[in-house]
Amino acid sequence: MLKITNLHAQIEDTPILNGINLTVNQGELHAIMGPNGSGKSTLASIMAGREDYTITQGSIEFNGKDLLELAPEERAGEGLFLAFQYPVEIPGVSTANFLKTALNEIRKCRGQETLDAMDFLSLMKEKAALVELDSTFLQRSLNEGFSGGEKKRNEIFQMAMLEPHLSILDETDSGLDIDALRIVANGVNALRTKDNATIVITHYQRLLDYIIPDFVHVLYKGKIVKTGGKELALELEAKGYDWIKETINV
Amino acid sequence: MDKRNNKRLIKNMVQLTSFDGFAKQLIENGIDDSVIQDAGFNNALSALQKHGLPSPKNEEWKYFPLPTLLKQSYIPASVGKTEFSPSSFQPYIEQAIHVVIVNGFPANLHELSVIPGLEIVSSKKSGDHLSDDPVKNPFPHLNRLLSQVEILIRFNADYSDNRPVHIIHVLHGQEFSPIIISPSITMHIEEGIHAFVIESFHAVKLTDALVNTAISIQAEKGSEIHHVIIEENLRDIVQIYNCNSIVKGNAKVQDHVIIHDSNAVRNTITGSLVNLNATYNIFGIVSANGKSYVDNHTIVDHVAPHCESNEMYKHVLSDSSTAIFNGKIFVRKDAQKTNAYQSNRTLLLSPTSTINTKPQLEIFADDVKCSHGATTGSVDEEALNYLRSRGISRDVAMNLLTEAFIGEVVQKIELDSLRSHYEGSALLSNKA
Repeated sequence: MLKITNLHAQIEDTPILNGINLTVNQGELHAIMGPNGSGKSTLASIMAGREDYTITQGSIEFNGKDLLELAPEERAGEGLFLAFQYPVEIPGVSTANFLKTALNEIRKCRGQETLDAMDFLSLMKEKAALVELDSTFLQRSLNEGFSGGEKKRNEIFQMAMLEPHLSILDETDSGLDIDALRIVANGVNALRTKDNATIVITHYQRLLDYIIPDFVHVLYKGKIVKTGGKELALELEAKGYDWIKETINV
Repeated sequence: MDKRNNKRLIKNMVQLTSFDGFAKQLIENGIDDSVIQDAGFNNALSALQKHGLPSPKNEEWKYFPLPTLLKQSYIPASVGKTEFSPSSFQPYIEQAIHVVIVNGFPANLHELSVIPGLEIVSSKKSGDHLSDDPVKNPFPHLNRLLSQVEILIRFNADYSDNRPVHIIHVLHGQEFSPIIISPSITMHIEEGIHAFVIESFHAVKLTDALVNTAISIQAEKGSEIHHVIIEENLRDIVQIYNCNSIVKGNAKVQDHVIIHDSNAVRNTITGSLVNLNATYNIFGIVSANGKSYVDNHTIVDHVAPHCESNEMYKHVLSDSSTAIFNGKIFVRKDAQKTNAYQSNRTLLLSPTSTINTKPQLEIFADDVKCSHGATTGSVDEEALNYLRSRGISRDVAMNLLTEAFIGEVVQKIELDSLRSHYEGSALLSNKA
C-alpha cells in the first residue's frame, strides 16, 4: 500500500531525512520510534503534504500513485489520514460542519453518494461513542477549549468517520493520561481491518502495550536503523535509545 | 466629466460643485416656494454654501474617492413607478410589515393595514437644525435640501407587534441620469416599547445614481430598537447613508450593518447616549470584492454617565477592494462609569485588498472602562492545512474559515429568519 524509497528531505538547508525505506502492506500496523530530532514528525508532515520541506531524493508511492504529486486534500481522497500531534483549534467552525464537509468531499472523490444531515448525524453519534466523546462536543467549535486528551480523541473520532486506508498517528500518546491513552488505543484497535494499515509514530513504548505492532522501526538521524517485531520496542524500553546510538556507531 | 454643467444647466439638474445657484435650480425644478423659505432648508443651504462637499483633504473623507465617484450635477429623483412586490427583494422576511419606499417616496402606506400602535406617515421635511457638523459630514444637509418627503415611523405606547418592520428602499432608474435619491426617515420609539426594523436597499434598472439617505432614531426611556441596515448588490451607484440615534435612559439601540457586493458605500452612523444606563451597540459585516470602496465612519457619544456601548466590525476583503473604518468614541467629562468597547477585525483575502482602520477614542471622564482593538491578517495557514488534510479543497476550506470569521457578528442578528439567511455562504464573494 505504501512504499517509501530512499527518501531524503530537508528544511531550508538542514537535511532531516537521510534515506528512508519503508514498505507497509494492507492489514499491517507499523510503529516508528526514535529519539528527539530523529525525523519522526518530519516524516509524518511530509506524508501529510506540508510544504515547508524540500524532497531532495527518493519517492513515496501510495496505492500505486506518486504521493508527493498530490495536494493534501487529494491525499485524503486517496485514503490517507494523519492524526496530528498538535491539532489546531478552529473557532467558528463546528466539528459537525467540518466533518460533514470533509466526509462528503472524500465520498465524492471515491464516487460514493454524499450523506444527508440525518444520516450524517447518526453516523457521528455512532463513531463518537467509540472514543467516548459525547455528542455535545460535536456542535462546538473544532478543538476549541478541548483538553489535550479530548483533542487526541477527536483525531481518532475523525479517523473513525473518514475510514482511511492508511492512518498515520503522530505521537498520539503525547500528553495523554492513562485513561485517555486507553480510550485512544481502544479506538485505534477497533478501527483496524485486514484492508487498512496504520503507522504509529511514538516516543514511548507505553502506547504499544495497548496497540500491538506487527513491525517496529527505529528512526535515528533520519534513517531507519533497525527493524524488528514488537519485542524490539520492549528491548528499546529496557536499554534506551543510547543502545541504538552505540550499535550504529560501531 | 459632464461637459454640460459648466455652461447651461439642463433643466432639472442640481449642481453639487457649487451651491450658490442651488435655490434657483430647485425652483426651476418646480419646487414649492414655501420649501425655499423654510428655516431648516436655509440653514442647510448656508452650511453647504460655506463648506461645500468634502475634498480629499478632509480627514473624514480621505480614503473614500468622492471626487471620482460623484458627478457634478444630478437630477433629483421623482416618484415614478410604484408597484413593487416586497417578495421580489432579498432577503424576504415573510412575516414582516413591509414598507415600500421608491426613490424616497412612500409607495404602499395606504396598503398597510392598521397595526395598533404603529403610525407611519409621510410629511414635509421638518427641523431647523441638523446635529451633524457640515465640515465633517454635509450629506445630511444635502438630504435636507433635496428630500421632499419625510417618513415618520412611530412605535407608540400601545405597540406590541412581534413582527419586524422591513423598510424596502427601491431605487428605481428613470428616463434621464444621473439621478440623486434622498430618502429621509425618522423613527420614534415610545417608552418601554420594543421594535425591530430592517432597512434594505435595492437597485432596479439603476446605474449612475447617488443615493443619500438620512435616518434619525429616537429611543425613549426603557425602549429597545434593533435596526439592521442591508446594503447588498449596489453596483454602479454611490450609496451614502447617514443615521443618528439618540438613546435615552435605560433604552437600547442596536444598529447592525451588512454590506456585500456593493461598489461605493459610505455610512456615517452615530449613537448618542444621553441619559443614565443607556446602551448603544453597533455591529458591522463588510464583504467587499472587485475595486469597491466601503467606508464606515461611526461615532459613539457617551454624554451621560453609566452607559454602555459595544462595537464590532468584521471585514472580509477580496481582490482590490478597499475598506475604511473610523470608529470614534467620545466620553464626555461627566460620563463617569462608562463602558465602551470597540473591535475591528479584517481578513484580507488578496494581496491587493486594503483596510484603513482608525479607532479614535476621546475620553474626558476619568472613571471609565474603554477598550479598542483592530486586527488585520490573512487566513490562518495552520487551520487551512488542517482542513485540507481532511479532504476539503482549498477553496471550500477558505470559505469555511471566512464564514467562521464573520459568524460571530452574524450571530448577533436577533431575528431568527434574518440570521439564518446570513449564516453559511450568503456573504462570501467566491462561493466554491
